[in-house]
Amino acid sequence: MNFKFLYKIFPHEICYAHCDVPCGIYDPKPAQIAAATVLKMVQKIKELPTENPSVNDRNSFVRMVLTKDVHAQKCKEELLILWTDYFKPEHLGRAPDMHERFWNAAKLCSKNKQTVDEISAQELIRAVDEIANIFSASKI
Amino acid sequence: MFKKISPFFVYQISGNSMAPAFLNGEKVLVFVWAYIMFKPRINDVVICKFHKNKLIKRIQRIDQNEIFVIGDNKKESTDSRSFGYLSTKNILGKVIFKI
Repeated sequence: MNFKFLYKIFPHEICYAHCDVPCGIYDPKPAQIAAATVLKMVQKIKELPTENPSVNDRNSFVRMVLTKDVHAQKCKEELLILWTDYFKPEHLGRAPDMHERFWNAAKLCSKNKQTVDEISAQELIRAVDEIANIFSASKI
Repeated sequence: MFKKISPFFVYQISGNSMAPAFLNGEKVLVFVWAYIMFKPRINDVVICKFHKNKLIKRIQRIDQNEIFVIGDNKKESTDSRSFGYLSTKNILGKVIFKI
């Protein structure tokens, strides 16, 4: 019997069945790898033939764009986790421009989704590396 | 208003700590008044409040007015093994069945 109608009758909410306690494990490496992947995909997309592309070329193009998008989004998510969960107000003493750096890096993630631009991809790598440096410094 | 007095609640599960019995995205019917007349029992699956979150867990041990809850999928569960016993006051209801 289907009881899905109960969902419409009774009030509903979300309950969690996963790690709800901060585990305290943070690392900028996933963001760095994602940013490097974005650059690699941009380079590979640009290497594809633009005139008379074969079906395989088109297939590769779609896959590369998809990978670029997915990794740009992943990079943004990883950065946001560091920003909101790891860094605390006391870290601002060593890196007073931290908020701006995160904000710019997150914006670069979006820009890399919108465009196929090697310069933007390199800027993203630089921005993420700088955040990784701040992260390393905060561990000392 | 209805939300406050309703004896039943539907909860949608987020996460895999109760797999394989309850999977991510599944919905369960919860009886909010289950423990007004009766006491919680071992192996009951309950919705309990921990800080601001509502968790779905299974009761493993009961010690007076406290319950030790765990997830069926122990590898992916954060439960009483890490945060300790919860008061029975934190129980929001008993899971009746999946819908």
